[in-house]
Amino acid sequence: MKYQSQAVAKPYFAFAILLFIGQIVFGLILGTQYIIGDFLFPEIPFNVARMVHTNLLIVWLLCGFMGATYYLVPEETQCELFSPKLAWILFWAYAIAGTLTIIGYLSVPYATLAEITGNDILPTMGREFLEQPTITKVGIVIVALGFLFNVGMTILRGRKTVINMVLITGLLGLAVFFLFSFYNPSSLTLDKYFWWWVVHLWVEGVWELILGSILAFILIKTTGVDREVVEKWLYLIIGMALISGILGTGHHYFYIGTPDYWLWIGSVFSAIEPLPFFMMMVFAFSMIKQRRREHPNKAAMTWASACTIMAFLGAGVWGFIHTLAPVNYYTHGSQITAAHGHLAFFGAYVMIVLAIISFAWPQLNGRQSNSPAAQKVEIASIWVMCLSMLAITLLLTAAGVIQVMQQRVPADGIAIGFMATQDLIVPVYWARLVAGMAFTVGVFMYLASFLVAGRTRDQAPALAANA
Amino acid sequence: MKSGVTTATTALRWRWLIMCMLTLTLALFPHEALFALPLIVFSAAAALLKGIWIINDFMELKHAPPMLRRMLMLWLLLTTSAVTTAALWQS
Amino acid sequence: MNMQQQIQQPETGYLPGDMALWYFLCAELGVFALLIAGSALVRISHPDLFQSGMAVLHPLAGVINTLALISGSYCVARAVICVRHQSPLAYRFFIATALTGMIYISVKLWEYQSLLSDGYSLHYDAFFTFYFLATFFHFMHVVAGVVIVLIYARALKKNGRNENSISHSESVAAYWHMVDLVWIVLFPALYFMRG
Repeated sequence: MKYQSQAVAKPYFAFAILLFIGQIVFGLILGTQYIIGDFLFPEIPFNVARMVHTNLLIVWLLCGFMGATYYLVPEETQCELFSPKLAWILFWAYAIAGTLTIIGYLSVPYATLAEITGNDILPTMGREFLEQPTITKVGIVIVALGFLFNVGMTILRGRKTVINMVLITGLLGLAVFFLFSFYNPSSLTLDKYFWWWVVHLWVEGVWELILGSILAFILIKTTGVDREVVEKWLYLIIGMALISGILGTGHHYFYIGTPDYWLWIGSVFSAIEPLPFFMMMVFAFSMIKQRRREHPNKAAMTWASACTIMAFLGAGVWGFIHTLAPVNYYTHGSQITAAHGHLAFFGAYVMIVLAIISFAWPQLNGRQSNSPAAQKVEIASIWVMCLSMLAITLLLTAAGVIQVMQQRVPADGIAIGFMATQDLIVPVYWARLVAGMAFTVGVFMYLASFLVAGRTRDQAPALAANA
Repeated sequence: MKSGVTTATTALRWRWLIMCMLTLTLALFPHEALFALPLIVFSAAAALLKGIWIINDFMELKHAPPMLRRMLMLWLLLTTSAVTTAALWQS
Repeated sequence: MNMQQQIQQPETGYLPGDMALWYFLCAELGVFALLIAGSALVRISHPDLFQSGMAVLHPLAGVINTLALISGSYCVARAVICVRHQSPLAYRFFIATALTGMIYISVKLWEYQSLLSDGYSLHYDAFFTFYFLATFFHFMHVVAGVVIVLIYARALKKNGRNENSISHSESVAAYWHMVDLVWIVLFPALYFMRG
């Protein structure tokens, strides 16, 4: 750790991991509910578990992004954070608001939550991923403004690199697009139209900038390749991501009441969305190949390079599978979407946050990297998590194919109903649950690596060696 | 030494002039139903020739790694034949 | 002498410009290929829309724009040669390239304005959806090309030539040629292959 203020990243990372564990627990509950419909009913109904699972994901990833920013920005700008105190205050505000929201989801019926949080004053609730009570949304905006102010002032004061400029652009975009969550028109088409401005333009737009800059930062630090080379790649990847991602929003505008030309815009531009991810993969591996130093943190490099592969598969390949309008006509909202969602979020965003945590955590604790023994456990956990997430994805894809072939493709009268199809898929859901448990084992191994790291701290290279 | 440069620019200049002439010829083609087919064939051939020159001489991929050159040539061939096929189909 | 030989006759396997940029250009060409292939498919299924749509376009505008882009390609290729030979003319050739781009932009804007005022738009029919989608996406590339060329020309004039100049100017040129290449296919498809 070169700058004292980088330490504020620690609580963000710790809270992110905590919420990650929560997300996995709810994932297991959901996996079970697919098979045993009334499992934990009425305490935790499926819709609530699903909401908690996806909301925890978003909240912990945002928390991870903030932690990554607090860690990365002082080092890139070569000056201390503008106000570490503000970062701490915002952390507690975010943590308390996030926790209260989750408690709200779990303790009272959603309609009651809407009532007691005054949703009728400015109705924004009830939409997928944006279920947060309006006051939580206002809280998120306040935290985001404070965070951007803090980071922006730091960047203004210090060195402006391509990495921190791309990062701040991504974060600004993240905040700006979130504002569309306050727009809740009564027309369902318009509602969905702008809802995607938050959801799609986040994950397939501005979040890719954040992903790109964190990846570039890790690669510069671990490979020692010239900044210029890394920056050039970053520019091109970001350019490609925005060209494909912004108009790629069109793939959500198929058959929802929007004009026909979206079928073409959406198909064509989203068909190239795998390319920035492909370039990211080429980028990571060519930087590693050209490396000028052997960084002791192999685990972080494994996370970063595996991240690009999994992101390419999840966001790129699995996105492409159902992105063309004629295909999407049949696959829309099937388990194929769930397969894509799982691998894309895991590959692109979960892994990059875990990569930066893996890189930063030892440094925040005065070590260049964890001990080889701890890294061994961590790398094993990466393999277990990646392979089980791939298994989940393949199984959900199989489920989706069954769904499409039984329920969607056959003509009226021949096609079987939704619930009958679900019954057919139950064996696949069992296998998926097993894969989900394997993923949980991976998460435990990951947590265990922290314990091993603590125990074998004396075997880890000290930070002083990092000139 | 000087002659090498001159050769390169002369070659470029000639290609540029021929490409301009080909483009102008298209404009002068009589736009009647009788000439529809020749016009399609001529404009496709002109597009191919221009594309090949752009790739080989302007982009200077003639001596570049063959993989890249082939990819661009394939792109040119595929897109030109797609539009030409569609036009011929119609006529 | 060795250096000079390399300049005049690039050795086999020499890649002009930056490798990373070529990935980007291939990706861009991929998008245009999809657009062009898509339009061909629609044309086969709706020949009448293309017949009536193409009749509305202005072939002369297409011809002027093709001449402009081809000339731009020529200028930027000359600029690269000048950079390699440390000729001060490089700057002028880059500026000339940007000027040809501006001609293209002006003509295209006029074309859009006249079509839109006649009531043709993205919504009009399948042909115009493609016309506006493909040409506008391409138009934005020309605008970006002009900006890139101008920024690079200014940097070249201000900072002079350095060891990266050749590679940078080749990259700028490659981008421009890519934009030109796309237009070379779009131009006959939109204005002349009437059938």
